[in-house]
Amino acid sequence: MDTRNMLTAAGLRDFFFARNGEQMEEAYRCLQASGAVPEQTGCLMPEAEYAFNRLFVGPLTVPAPLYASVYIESESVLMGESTLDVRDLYAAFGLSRPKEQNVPDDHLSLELDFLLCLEQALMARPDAALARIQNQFLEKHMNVWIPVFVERILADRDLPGCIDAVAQALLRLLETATAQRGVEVTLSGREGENYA
Amino acid sequence: MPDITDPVEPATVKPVITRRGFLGGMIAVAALGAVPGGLLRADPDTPRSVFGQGYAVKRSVCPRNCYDTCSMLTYVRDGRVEFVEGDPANTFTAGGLCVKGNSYVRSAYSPDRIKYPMEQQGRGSGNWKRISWDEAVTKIAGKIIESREKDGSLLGVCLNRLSGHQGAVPTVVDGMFASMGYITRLVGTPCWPAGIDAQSYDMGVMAANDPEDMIHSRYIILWGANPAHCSIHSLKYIYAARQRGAKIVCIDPLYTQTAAKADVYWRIKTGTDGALALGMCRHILDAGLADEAWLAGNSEGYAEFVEYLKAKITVEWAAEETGIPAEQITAVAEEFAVARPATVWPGYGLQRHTNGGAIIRSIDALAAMTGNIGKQGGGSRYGSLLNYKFSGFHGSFQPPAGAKGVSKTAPDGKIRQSRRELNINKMASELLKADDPPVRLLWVSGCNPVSQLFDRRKMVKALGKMEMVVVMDLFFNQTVELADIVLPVTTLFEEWNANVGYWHRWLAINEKAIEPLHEAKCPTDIAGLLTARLNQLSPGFSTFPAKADPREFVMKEYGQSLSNHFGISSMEDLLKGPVKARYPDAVWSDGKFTTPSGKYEFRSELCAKHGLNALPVHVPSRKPTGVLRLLTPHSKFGLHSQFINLDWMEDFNPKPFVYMHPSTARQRGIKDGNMVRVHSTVGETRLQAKLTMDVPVDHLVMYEAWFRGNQYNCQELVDEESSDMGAWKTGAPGVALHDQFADVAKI
Repeated sequence: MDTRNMLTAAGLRDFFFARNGEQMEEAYRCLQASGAVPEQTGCLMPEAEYAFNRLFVGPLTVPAPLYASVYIESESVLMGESTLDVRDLYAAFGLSRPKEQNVPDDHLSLELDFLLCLEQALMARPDAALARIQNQFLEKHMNVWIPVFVERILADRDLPGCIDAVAQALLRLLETATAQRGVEVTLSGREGENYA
Repeated sequence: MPDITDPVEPATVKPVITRRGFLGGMIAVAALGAVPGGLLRADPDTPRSVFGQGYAVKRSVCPRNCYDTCSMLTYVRDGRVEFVEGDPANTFTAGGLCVKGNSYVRSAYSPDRIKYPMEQQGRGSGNWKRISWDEAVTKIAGKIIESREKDGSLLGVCLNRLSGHQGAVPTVVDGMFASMGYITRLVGTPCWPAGIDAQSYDMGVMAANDPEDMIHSRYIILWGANPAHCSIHSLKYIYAARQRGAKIVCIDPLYTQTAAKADVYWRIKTGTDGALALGMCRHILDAGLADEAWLAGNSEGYAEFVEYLKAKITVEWAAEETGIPAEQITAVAEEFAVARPATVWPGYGLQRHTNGGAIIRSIDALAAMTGNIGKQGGGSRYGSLLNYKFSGFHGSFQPPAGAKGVSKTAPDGKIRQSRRELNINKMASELLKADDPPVRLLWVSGCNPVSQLFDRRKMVKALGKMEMVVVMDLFFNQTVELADIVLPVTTLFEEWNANVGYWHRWLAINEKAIEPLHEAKCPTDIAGLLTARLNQLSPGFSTFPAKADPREFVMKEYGQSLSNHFGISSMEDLLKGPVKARYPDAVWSDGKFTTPSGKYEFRSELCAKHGLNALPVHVPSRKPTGVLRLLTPHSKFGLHSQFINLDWMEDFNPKPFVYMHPSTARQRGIKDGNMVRVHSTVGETRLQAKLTMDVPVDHLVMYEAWFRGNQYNCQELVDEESSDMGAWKTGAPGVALHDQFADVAKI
């Protein structure tokens, strides 16, 4: 993942973790800076904040919950088996979710953050095994649920331009990251080396 | 508990990533650093390292308004509730829950739960903004302080708290307000108040035999009660009694699932139950089957009652009134009288009439006349207030000195301040009418008034008048829809509580099993947060403790009363398991009624003093105000507006229906499945029709329930007509829910 994509990942992470309109706007500006979303489309407030809550937060039933388990498990549930697997994965690398908010581990923003942690480590020291893990996390997890999540967003009839742009940016990031990672693994070909 | 030898494969999708899958052949894994400004912490969690690691088993107790109040076992692993069971240690629960209890895991982890405090910008607009707890309590505190400044009291603040969340802990919301001053409080209950007063006039207090003693009954009349819907755990005792030769009689205008299991089913004309009971009494008198000995020693006013029966009641008249043939009335009356013991279970729907209290009094008279009061397996079993022996700590906080409310002259002549009380059964009218001061802030806890309380049009208008509406709830509903601020609350898994039944005699503690999800808070924490903010903004505003630890607070519900009644030495004892009250199966077995005379009162001077009849005389029910009678009973898939919104329930109970007799439908050109409007002078609602002979001709039946995303609301048709009793013991008369009338037309 190049620097721009890492900035995009961070911007997306912060957008979907936003607690209010100001935080949404701040994250959106990062995404504009990294070129992930168009400069011309701004975040129109307060409509964008209402739409964000309607789509992702509540208090009504939300069409696009932010947690992987909703899409992966046979029932749309939070804290499923798959959530605990994600928790285990973070734990294997000495990472854990922020406790204060009791957010399920498979919240989109936490998963994007994990992607960034992996990327940061790989940039410091390339490693085929770690790269493989990142690839699997992308292909076998994020790519399984996030496209469905994005589809639900794009199906919304009152979608503000900025959220539309963000959703598309998320999809593009995933495609790019998967493609890049795949190429690197093939090229490096260094198997069996422990990440120590 | 899932059995590992169970051959049936669970239908769940296997997770697509597993830790083993990822790490493959890697031997050592080192830590990743956190990203600057990132979310994940470099602070290792304990992974699930041991395959098949055991469960932590926590004790829970269902905090719902239900006869069965189940003791539960909650199985937690890796900080997650995996499943629940009924606790076998509670012999009434006997290891099983109901369909609602079994869905608790689903509701706790539902993506639809309200996660954060939110503010609606424009009530009813659907434009919601997420706010922090800090912002929420600041806004609410500001309004409360402003209210006191405007009015010189807190009477402009109104609490609507009802039974959606039961147990010792939910009372903390009352305690929170009490710690600030004297507010307005909606009192009374739509549930069972007429019957409480009736039983209290007759015997002194509402108390019932241990339902587990029904196995000893030789005759059981289920009168306007539907345990198949509302108390499934009671059924096993009824079946056991029948195994031993007991006869089961079910009296109900509807052919319910309970009726289907009875030996005798009587479809009574709605609201005429008093006439039936009195007709049976008359026959028992004529047949010389009254228990003269018991009556002589234990009752007051029996002679006057006999005079009344001779002068005013005949079996033929009763048959005419009720639609039950005279020969059946006499047969069942005689069987009931000789059975020994015989018991009658009057339900709550039975007394939701303008003559509800009178009905219960005449049914009590039937049980008393036959010598069945105070006998194991006998009694007129309605409910029990005897078990609620908590110290009341959560509600015990006192207002700051000098707080003003409503001035009342106490019996000792002193002027005391108190809260203003409004009738919850007329909530809409009361909120509209309240003045000097008006109600400004409405706080809703454990209630969904827009879906469940009466005259919806008026209710919406009343909420429109409020300056601020604050709702505590788990899920979005029709009341949250009209709120300004919604506060997310905890499920039973995420909070401390204790609960005891009003039917069986088991006391249980509810341990906090997992941390609250998202930003949900338990009521004690909410109270602590709001009062802390109030005291910051206006020092000395509230006397609520600065440190309010929920677990400590629950332990403080222990007192001498609980000790005497249950034999425990602390609340901690309950962590070892639920405990049953220690007193005889049969209430009143000692003959020491707590009435003014100390006897069972056929003639109650107190009842007459309260403006009613001293004797349990016949009182007709409300004159029809429409062509068809409308009944709105309980669904078995939900508890009022709770549970029905869960997708598990929606799978088989997705929408409302109005049930009507084929002849009623035919007269109006309505076919099964047609969309119809049920309408009256109160309002109207639209839903699908179902034709069935389970309901009487000239009746419409709609279950009182709220369906997600559906405009259906039976309160469009229900007005605020009061029942005769309820004010004495509950502060306000009950509501004549089943004395409502409407018509129906095809759309």
